Order: sequence, then C-alpha cells, then structure tokens
Amino acid sequence: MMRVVWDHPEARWLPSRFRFAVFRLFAWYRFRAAATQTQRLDRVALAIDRDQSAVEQYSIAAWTLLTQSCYLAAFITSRWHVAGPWRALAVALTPFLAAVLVEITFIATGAVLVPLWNATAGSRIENNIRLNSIVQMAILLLASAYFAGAAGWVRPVAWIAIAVFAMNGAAAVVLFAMRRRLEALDREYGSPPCAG
Amino acid sequence: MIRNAWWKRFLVRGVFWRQFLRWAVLNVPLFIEPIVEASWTLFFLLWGPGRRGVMRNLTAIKPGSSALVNFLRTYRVFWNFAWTITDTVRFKELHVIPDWEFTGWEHFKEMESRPEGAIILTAHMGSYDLGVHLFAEMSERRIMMIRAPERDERTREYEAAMHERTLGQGLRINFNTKAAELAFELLEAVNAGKIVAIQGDRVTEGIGSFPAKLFGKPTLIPSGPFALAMAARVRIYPLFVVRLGRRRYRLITCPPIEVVRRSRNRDEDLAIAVAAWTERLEQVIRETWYQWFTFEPFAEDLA
Repeated sequence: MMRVVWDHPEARWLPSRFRFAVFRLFAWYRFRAAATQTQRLDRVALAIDRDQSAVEQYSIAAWTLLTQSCYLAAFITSRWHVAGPWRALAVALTPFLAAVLVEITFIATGAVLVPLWNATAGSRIENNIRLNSIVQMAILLLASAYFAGAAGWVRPVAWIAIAVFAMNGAAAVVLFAMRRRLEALDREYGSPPCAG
Repeated sequence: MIRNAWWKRFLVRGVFWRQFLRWAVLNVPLFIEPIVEASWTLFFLLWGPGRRGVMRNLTAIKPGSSALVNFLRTYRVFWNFAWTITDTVRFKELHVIPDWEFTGWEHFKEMESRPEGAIILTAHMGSYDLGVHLFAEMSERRIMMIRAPERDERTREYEAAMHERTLGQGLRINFNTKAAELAFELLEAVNAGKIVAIQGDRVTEGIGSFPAKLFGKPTLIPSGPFALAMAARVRIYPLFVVRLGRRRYRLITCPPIEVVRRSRNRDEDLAIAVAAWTERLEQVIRETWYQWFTFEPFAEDLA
C-alpha cells in the first residue's frame, strides 16, 4: 500500500509526488513557499506517488498531443497533395488522428512486444506502464529529431520539443545534486525516498 | 445455465470493457491517460440509452437548459465516470490511492465512537467503491458493502472474481440478488455492531422501494436501508464521495438520519426519514450533477 501524509496540505508539493525532473524541481521550490504559508484547515490525506500531480500529467498530455498533431499535420500537408478545404479539414482532424496513433502505439507494445518478451523470457509481466512510457517518449524524441531537420513551420515545434527534453535532463542533474535534501524531506514526511 | 452469446461481451455492459479497462490501467502511460480518457469518453457517447438517460435527468436537475448544453454536460458526466472507474481499478490492481479531503469528519468520528452498528447510505456518485474501501481502511469496524449485481452474467462473474482477489481485511461485499435472505443477514450484521454500506438512489429489480420526490419528480427510493435502520434502531449516515479532479476526492459525511417509530403507521415514519435522505441527496446532486452516474431516467415521466 502507498504511503499517505495526513493533515499536511503543503505535502501536495512534495517532489516525490511528481514524475518529470522539471516538475519535481518546480515542486521543490513551490513546497518551500507552501510550507511557510499553508494553514491546516481540514483533514486531508495526500498519497505519495510519482504520478499524483494533475497539473503535471495534464500538461505533459497536452504538450505531447499538440506536438504530435503538428508533426502529423506537417506530414499530411507535405506528402499528400490535398488542397483548399480538404487540407484545412485534414489539419483540423490531426489532434484526433494523433490521439488514435498514440493509442495504437501502446496497444501494439502491450499486445505484441510484451507477450513476445514474456514468451521468450518465460516471465508473466502484467504491468507495462514503464515500458510503454519509455516507448512513447522515445518515439516523440525520434520524431522531434526528424522534424528538427525539416523545413517550414514544423521546425521550431520540433526544436521546442528537443529543448523540453534537454531542460528535463538538466533538471534531473540538479535534482541528483540535491538528492540528500530530497531524501531528508521524504523522511520528514514519512514517505520512502525515491530515485531521480 | 445458458451462457450469453459471444458477441454480448462487447455490449456496453459486457465483460470485454471491464477486461479492457484493467488492461489499460496496466498499460497506459500516465501522461497519455488524459488523452485516452477523453477519446474513449467521446466513443462511449455513442451509447444512446445511457446518453439519453443522463440528458433527461439533467432536464430535471437543471430546468430550462437547452439540449445542446445538456449534451455537453453529458460528456462531462461520462468523463467523470471514466476517471472514477479507472481510479477504482487502479486501486484494486496497483493499490494506488487518490488524495482525500474530508468534510463532516465529526460525524464519521461519532459513528466510530457509538457501540452499535450503523448504515452508510450513499449514491452512485464519484467513486463510491473507492470511498467505502477507504472507509474500511480507516474504520476499526467491519464494513459490509451491498451492491446491485451486474446485469451481464460474464461481467457478474468477472466482478465477483475481482472483488474476491482485491478486497481488504475489513470489507465484505454482498450482491443484493435475494432481498429476503439478505435482509436477515444485514440485520444480524448491524446488531453485531458492523457497518452496512448501501446505495440509496436507485431501485433495481426485486428490491423493495418507497415513493419519494427528487427534483420535484416522483421517483422510487430503496426502502431496505430505512426499514433496516428502524428494525435495528441504528442511525443512517449519508455519505457522498465527490471527485474533485484527477486522483482527488472529497468524502462528505452528513449528519445522521434517525428512523424513529413515532406512530402506529410505519410508512409515515419511514417517509420522514426518506424525505430527509432525498433532501440531502438532492442538495449534493445539484452541486455535483456532473458525477451522478445514473444512466437511466430517475423518474417515470422523464423516460
């Protein structure tokens, strides 16, 4: 069972409740401000889990969907010679197509790659969230690298995506340097220390 | 026993969607989840009877609103439903719990401190499953949760197996298939100091009912919890689990309802308690209509 922090609303900003390094670093600074300002008003139980933050997960979801939609729109308009209203319709539909493509990716991983791995290694892994997360991010990074070399409006989108990956890497380095302080904070709030 | 035709597993109440949800909980990256929830919510809006049921209920909850606005509101109801069933499966499979806020804590403490049993009366709102599991974790008492059985046979078997596999120490789930047998069992449980959790906003087949009014419309409310409270002389604690956002819920415990025998007319005494319940139910539904998961019209004149 997960750890729960009772009646400490400021624990909402514990870095252990965030997944990505950029957000964890932001949470660290936000937590320091919240710890001095928050009053205890009501009974609150906060779960300590790396994927607990709604702001983080919604932001990443919106960013990945928008970026993938841009790549898809760039692909459609450059490869298929559609013109006029059909072109506009195709571009308008790209967020829906991108959502379908995203789902096809993890369905393929979960339904093909993992059963293959399980058959080969003789294991019975059921929880594939980590594997699928790595695959999704790897696809986004590879697509960004591809479109970063392309001409036109999609190029800055790809460079922004690469910059986000780089920023997250830099934040991970900072967090690694701060790991003792983060572990102490986790101990203070009774949650297990979590790695980078 | 005749098994369902194979294709029935793909109907909206079929077992396929339960299995698919479990698979998704174990496979979907968390940062992709909002996209997946949004797209599948859109897909399930194709479920005509459910969509129309919610829209018709909304005409009573929000009188004067247009069909288009109620259609968009229905998307919000389906969206919240998708998140709550996902949170419940995630809790059962991975023991991931959401954040909780509590309102009416003093009523919960009061229920805990009284030696006799109690009845928790809840509604099809937020994740009532998750709420009762949390209650079972916090409470020192044993909790018996009563649920309506699934209509589809394979889904019923799947859910029963899942409950068997994932239930906590202090919680037991009973399906109200045989009302008469269950009534004695519940009376015994409450008399032994246990807490019985029942949903009190929808009458299913074979369940005793009591006429009441909700949003000015005549409807039927399950009579069992009130009759049980009267027979066992225990209090009813209305409890609502409200979804506040992603992995964030509020557990609202209301002041208790006492079902007291005041006259020789039992129905009159029950009517007072039922009216107190529907008043609280109406108040909570009015504030959080976007998570009242009643997919059939609640009143005959809305059908």
